[in-house]
Amino acid sequence: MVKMFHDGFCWSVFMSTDMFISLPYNIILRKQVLEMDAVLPSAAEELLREIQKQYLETKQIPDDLLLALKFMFGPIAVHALDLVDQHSVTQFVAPSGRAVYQVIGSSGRVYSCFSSCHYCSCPAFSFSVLRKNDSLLCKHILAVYLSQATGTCQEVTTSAGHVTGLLLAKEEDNT
Amino acid sequence: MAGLLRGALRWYSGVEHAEVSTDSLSLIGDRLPYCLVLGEHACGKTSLLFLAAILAAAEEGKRVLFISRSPIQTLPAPLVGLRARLGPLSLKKIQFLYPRSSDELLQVVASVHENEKLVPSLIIVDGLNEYAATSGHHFVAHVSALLVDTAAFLTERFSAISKNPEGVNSKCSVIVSLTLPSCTDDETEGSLNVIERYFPVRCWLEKDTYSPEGVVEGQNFRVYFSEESGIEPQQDSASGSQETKEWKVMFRESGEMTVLPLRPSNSGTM
Repeated sequence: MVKMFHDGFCWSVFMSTDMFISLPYNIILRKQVLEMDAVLPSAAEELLREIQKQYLETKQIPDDLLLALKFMFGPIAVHALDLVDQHSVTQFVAPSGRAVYQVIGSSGRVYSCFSSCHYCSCPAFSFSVLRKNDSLLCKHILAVYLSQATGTCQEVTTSAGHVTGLLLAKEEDNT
Repeated sequence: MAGLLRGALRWYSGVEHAEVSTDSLSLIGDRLPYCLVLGEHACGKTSLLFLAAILAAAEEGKRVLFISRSPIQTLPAPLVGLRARLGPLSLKKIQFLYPRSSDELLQVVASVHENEKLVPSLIIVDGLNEYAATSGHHFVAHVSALLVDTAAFLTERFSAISKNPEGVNSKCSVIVSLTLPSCTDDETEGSLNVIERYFPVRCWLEKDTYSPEGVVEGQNFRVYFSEESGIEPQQDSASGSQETKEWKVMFRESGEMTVLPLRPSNSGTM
């Protein structure tokens, strides 16, 4: 990885076998945040794929990718990594295959996150993501992505009714 | 699910009837199987959704879940003329549910996966604003995300068991309609922004004050689709021509509905 300094900001340029990526991710992401999507932008997907690949080989996330995560997602990146370290993410799967993620937050409260699009029952998702549009996602959703990438998500088979209940978990249930 | 709506408009217009094959109904422009239908009150959204449901059930054999707050007692007036063309078996494939509250709506959608024998491949929610009126942005995000997540799960399941993963019955689609109030406040605008996160493809029904005949009888609306940027309309596989992007829908006082495709030169005069 090559570090370049310009205008007081640190840009990281690194290469993979498949692609040449140059930051700033944050500017790429900002444009896509303004488009208000409920799925990850392609730059974020590429970063997670790179994390998955590196983690598979070395069982850790290298510093340059950690830096890229922080550039891309801001302060929630560190909190999300903490949640992954604490094994806070569990995927509950019904016999039909219907799945939903449950994340134990830093306060001990549990939140539900969906598999295929961005939704979390936490207040921060409602405020920062939906209302203020400050963030693309909350730390719980990012923790789900990171636990998938690192293979540290626990999977539990449960009843269809239990999964339905988790899908229905509402914001006020956690206040 | 813009493809099915386009197919419904083409089918109703009578244009290229013989060329509207089963495959073309769903696959036209169906890169993203979720579509939001927007328009003011009484502009034909329910009729359009109903038509899409009937065609999906009758022509493609899809099982349809049609959700609405207000019970549908009879066939919408503009579609009465189709009654003779509908077989009883096709209507049996449409399940109508009328949850009264936002909580009931969430319960209905969240529990779709529980009955594995009766899972739908098209979910329609008509009049989401009626549920959202007394609920905040979080409810709007919750139900929108639940619909998208449910459809994604069902699509994955259908693809796994289907011999043709790209076929019309290998995906689950969602159409949601929303009535736009005459004047929007911050709350409404915020709710619309939230829904549009999950439904990037939109079908607009706008009142058309211009009539090429020069006489306006009943009400006329323009129907057009706006899609996520970068997605180009596909060639029509049936006729080889560029897919029609705009339509004119005219309602007469008798309740009769006429649908006309608009060529690019026609739309410029509107």
